[in-house]
Amino acid sequence: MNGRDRVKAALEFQHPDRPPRDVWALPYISLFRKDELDSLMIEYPMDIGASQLSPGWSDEVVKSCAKAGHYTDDWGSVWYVGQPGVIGEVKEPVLADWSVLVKYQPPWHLIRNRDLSHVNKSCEQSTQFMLSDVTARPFERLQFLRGTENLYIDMISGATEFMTLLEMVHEFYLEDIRQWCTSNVDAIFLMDDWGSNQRLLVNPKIWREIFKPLYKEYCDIIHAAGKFAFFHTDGHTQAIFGDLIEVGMDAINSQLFTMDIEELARLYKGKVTFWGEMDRQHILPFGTPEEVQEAVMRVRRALDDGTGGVIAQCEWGGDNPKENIETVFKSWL
Amino acid sequence: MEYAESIYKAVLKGDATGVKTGVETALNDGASADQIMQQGLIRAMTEVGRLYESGEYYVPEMLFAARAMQTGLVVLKPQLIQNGVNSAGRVAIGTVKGDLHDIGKNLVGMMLEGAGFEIKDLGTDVEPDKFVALAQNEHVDIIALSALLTTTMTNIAMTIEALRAAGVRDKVKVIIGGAPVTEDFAKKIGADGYSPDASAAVRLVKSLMLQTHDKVSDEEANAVADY
Repeated sequence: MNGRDRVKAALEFQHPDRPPRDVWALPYISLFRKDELDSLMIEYPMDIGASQLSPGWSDEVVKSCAKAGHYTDDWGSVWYVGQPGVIGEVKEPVLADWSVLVKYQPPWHLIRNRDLSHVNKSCEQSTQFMLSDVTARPFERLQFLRGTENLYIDMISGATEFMTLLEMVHEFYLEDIRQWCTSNVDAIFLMDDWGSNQRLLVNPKIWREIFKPLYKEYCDIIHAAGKFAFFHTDGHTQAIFGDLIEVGMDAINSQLFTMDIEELARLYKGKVTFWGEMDRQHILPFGTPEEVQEAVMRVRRALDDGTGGVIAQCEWGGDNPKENIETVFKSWL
Repeated sequence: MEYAESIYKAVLKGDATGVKTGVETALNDGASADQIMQQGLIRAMTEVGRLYESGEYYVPEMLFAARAMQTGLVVLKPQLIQNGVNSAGRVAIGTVKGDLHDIGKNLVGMMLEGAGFEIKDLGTDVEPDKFVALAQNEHVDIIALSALLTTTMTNIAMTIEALRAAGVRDKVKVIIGGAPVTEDFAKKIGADGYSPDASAAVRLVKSLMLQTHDKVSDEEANAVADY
């Protein structure tokens, strides 16, 4: 089985020969520990590849992000980076003042007339399962544009400008996704961090009213094009896990270790593919290889019965020893 | 005390204008600033904390209420100072060196303010020396340290160590929080307490203040924390 076949078998519960592998190296690793990353890729070839062509990240922005200091993203918000290799935090949201909204436009130039031929070429040449770059992230984009605290207030107060902006962002992402669906990628990558460590950040009722229909629309377009929907969300998201499956997410990358893994498995195993992950807040940076192995085995006991529905994914943060990342993939063999 | 009820309800609804008007009217009608603070704002924010912990409120509702409360506090503060009303305690708060995240920190600050504490917000990316200087030169009961990243949470330990090295560790209680931070980590690095969220932080600070000033036993203070 090649990577593409293996991931598809996992998604369709068709008994892959082993759980597919996927590692997310944070910018720090690519910038400062590239040799270690390269050697991991040789030792444990990955089954999922990604096309780097994101609507929020033009070449100019990619060059300046993750470097200490500040930079302006393609939507006009200013990010501050405290440590090299970390993506940073929006400190000057472009729409903090609603009066700017009247003339505001998303960066349509990044996606209109976009040439996807090199994406198609890389898909043809690769035996990996190919993901689009990150597309829709409406909740996070609204935070980047308004500032998180402002956005929270908008959501509760029902500001009319909020609905206008939400529609604008949604239209942008619909067009972005439709375009990606004309390419040869296997899956479309969506994300939004919805949880704190303890529970959902917002009331599930508000989530269901405002955001769930957007995700449903994205998934419908993706599925109509014969592609898979892959979703990443950080935090404790157990309250909306079933909703995410209901709208059509095929694979969900969540912080399993903030939740009740065994309960998630009991409720949703066989209904969605668990796209990782490993505990990156404690075990990967601070644990021993033995603890890493035990964490992987816990996930395997809950989710890996050989039929599929699980991807051996982990993030590789700047402070994670390579030995721990190697142990993750070794333990999935 | 009809005014207190209207302020209380306005805070819970996140009605900033209602809170401000309610406080101004109460003051004009002769209510004392301390009474308005205790019966209106603090009582309301205690209820906000309870609603959060019971799962009825989430972060946006808590923030909405806290911002409304602050509009009332702006009106009340000069009166409280003029009347010589003491705060419940003084808390210095900041995100540690290398970390720029501030939403959690801000929320903790607002909730503590709503419980009657005076807040000194040092901002984000705060060098350990700044906390040390504050502990040396100003009266501070509690230092609250926050970090969101695993790569910066070690700077919490560094800050506590700096307080120790400067000989001021025993002058203040130190509490910590942030996504990767745990109770075990707090114990390991010698913090006085850990809180998983803004509402629990209020209870933690109250219990530590009891230990500090009233010399109550740990068990009694914990009873406050676990109410």
